[in-house]
Amino acid sequence: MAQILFRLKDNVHPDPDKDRRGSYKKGYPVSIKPDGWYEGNPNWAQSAYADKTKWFVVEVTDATVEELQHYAGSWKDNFDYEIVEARPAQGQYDVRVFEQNASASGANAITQAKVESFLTKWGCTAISATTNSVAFTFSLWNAVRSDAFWEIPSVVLKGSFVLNGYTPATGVGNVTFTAIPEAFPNMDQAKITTMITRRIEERGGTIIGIDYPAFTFEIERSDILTRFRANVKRKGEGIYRRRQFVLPSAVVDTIVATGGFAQRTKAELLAEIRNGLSE
Amino acid sequence: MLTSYVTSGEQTFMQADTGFEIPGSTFSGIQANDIMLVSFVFWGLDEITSVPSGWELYAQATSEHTPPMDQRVYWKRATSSSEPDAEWTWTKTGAACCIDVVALVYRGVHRNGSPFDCTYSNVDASSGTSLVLPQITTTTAKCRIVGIVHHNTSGSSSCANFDNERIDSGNDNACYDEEQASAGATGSYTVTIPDGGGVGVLLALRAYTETITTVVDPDSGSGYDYDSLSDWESDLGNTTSGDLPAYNEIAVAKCRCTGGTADDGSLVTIESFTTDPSHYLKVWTDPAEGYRHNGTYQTGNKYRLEATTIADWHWGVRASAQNIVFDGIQLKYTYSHTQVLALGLGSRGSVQNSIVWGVCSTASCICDGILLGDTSLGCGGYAINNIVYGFKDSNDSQGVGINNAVTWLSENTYMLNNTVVGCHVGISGAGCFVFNNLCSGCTDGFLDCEADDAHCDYNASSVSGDAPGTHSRNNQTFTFAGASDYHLAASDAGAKGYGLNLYNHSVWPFQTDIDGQDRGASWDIGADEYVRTVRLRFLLDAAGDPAAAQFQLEYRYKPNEGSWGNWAIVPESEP
Repeated sequence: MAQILFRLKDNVHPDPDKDRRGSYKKGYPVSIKPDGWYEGNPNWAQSAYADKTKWFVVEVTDATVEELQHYAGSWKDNFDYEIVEARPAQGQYDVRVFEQNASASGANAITQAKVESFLTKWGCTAISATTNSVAFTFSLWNAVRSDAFWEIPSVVLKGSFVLNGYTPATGVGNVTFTAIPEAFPNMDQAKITTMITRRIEERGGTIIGIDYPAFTFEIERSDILTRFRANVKRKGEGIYRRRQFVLPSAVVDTIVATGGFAQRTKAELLAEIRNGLSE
Repeated sequence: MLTSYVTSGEQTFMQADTGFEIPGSTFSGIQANDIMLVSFVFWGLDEITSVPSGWELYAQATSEHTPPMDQRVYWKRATSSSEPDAEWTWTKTGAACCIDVVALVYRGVHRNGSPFDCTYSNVDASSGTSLVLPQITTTTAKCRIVGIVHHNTSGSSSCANFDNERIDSGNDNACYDEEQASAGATGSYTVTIPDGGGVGVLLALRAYTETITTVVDPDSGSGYDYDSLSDWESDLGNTTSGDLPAYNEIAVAKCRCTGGTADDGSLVTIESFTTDPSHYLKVWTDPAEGYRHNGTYQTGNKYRLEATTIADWHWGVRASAQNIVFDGIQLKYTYSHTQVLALGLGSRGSVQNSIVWGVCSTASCICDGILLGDTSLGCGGYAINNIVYGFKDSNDSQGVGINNAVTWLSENTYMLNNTVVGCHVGISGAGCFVFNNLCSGCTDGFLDCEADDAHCDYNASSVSGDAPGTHSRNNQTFTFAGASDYHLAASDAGAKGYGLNLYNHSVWPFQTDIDGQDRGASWDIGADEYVRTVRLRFLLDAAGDPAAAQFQLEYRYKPNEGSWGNWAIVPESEP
């Protein structure tokens, strides 16, 4: 057996976005507890859990803690990508990004507003949206000059980029970055060289030559694409709702009316609890 | 906690030539820490000759009537709900006269020292139908502004400026109040009174910031409130609503481990609080309780969070709420996925005196040990006196001990006196203030740190050409107390004594190390300060005669094998 601690009292945050993704609501599973947890401890009565205006407990008679753990998960974004058309010679890709964790009724569908700022920082163009889908053109050359790739705001103010060559077959580009030393106050040539070299290498580039303040390097397109995908996922994805599952209010009220404790089998719980993705 | 009005009353004493008494019933419903205010006025040139115990004079106003109207405001903080157990008596000099007294009680008022936020203002008018209470300027939010006036002619008064009228019985007194949301000037308050002038005082009661401390204990021991930090967050730390500034609250999770069980440190999300720098969250182990580590990662009855990743994009503890303090916490993060995070802190979050340990045996796993400024609001964060180790994947291509999520040249993130060991990158500090940090056994100790001494200096690294800064020390060999004990050993020559004293640091002044030990004047680099102590022993013989005691000066080093070494006798040749 295992038990689920549910929230009875709504938490409210004045910011509606934070409220949705951060606040527990009536009927949200909070945590999964082992058998005997509920009132099984002599100190339980003086704990915060004893306040039955805040919590209630459902004991699942035929489940282990591990089997119930997924009920205590957040409703999170999960983006995926599809390359609609590739133009390797130009280093361009038409891409579609979409949300895999949108609900049946469209809740948490991806929107242009949700990802546009990240795409723009990567130099993406032709951004457009349809239902739960955002399409755009990704250019390797734009990306390698972007603030997002280097994680430096206004990187173009710190130097200029020249594309010396690009081999579509291998996906390797040869680029020269010429720094503007004045844009790096308090740093001498050695320090600027160390910093820029490190940053190029950290992003997967290989230094070919340094003729200060020019740094020539090679970078393979997969390094750029990998960083792009990770960055959009990291910056663009988030929690949509604090809990993906919720016990309906009427069920909660019934449990509370009988003392705030109920027993269910796994099948009974599954029949009662609602999965946000199915709504 | 917000200030609130509790009760009030008024009395008139005639022929009160020797004094007057305020009965306890005037303060019915009182509780400990409530503030009692008594304002009285008498006509004449009398002096108060005795004041009941515990009462203090706060304000005074005198008008040029004939005879003069003399207002005095006294205050007292209630010590219990049974106060007063007797009448309070004021005595005065002079002939018989009329004395009007009003009494007010307020709750939720600042408890340390004076309850008043700023200097009061007063008004006196020998004639006329209005009293204008000059504005005062409060220094904190949520003050209760109180106006107390006594007028020369009986009758009703009014004041549209105040939200609440507390006393206006048609006699000679009136009291008003309201809460002022933000600190600053109150504006003046005009009280319309019966013709004949009067006196008045305007004062501000400072709201009490209530610290709501609850106990997190995974073993559900005596006195526990929650058995996990995650549950604590789900209950908003038992605060009123989680909006800490609105209710003048601080939320503290005091963490214990009474039975040896680790807290679940997986996907702990702390987001739905509203905070400011004065109304913050604190998650800590109280050193006085014995559940804090000793500077090494400890199990047993030492509180710790432990997590194992189950998917990419996993995290251990992610405190997106701003203004959170982690102090004396252990976190062990075992990961086999990528884009994961052990401990993320929102803007103005701090982690100090803590141990964060990464365990990874999988290739190409991107993971941060500590990530500051996780909400990307540009407000940075603070990592002070921490030991961070093991954030390196199996092919040593990824992993950062302490990272900064805020943008390049952010100017608001401070990484001070941390020890980072065995990570792929030790400290990634673009735009941060990076001082006194030790990176040992990292492939790249200091990445993207600013190369000017104002941002980055007095650091030490085992990598050559690594840490920027005129006083930084690169290509060093550090000697620690043990294999997983990153206290400096007595023989260390890489970090001991080479730090910058940050006792007077402009943003984060501190004086102790991860163990709470005083760093003295000459600081070591890293989380630990190598300390040597001495003691003077009194050695009694079998008879136990103190007069025959011998004295012996002994010393010991810390650390040694993870703890204090044995005491040894100071040779006579040493001073």
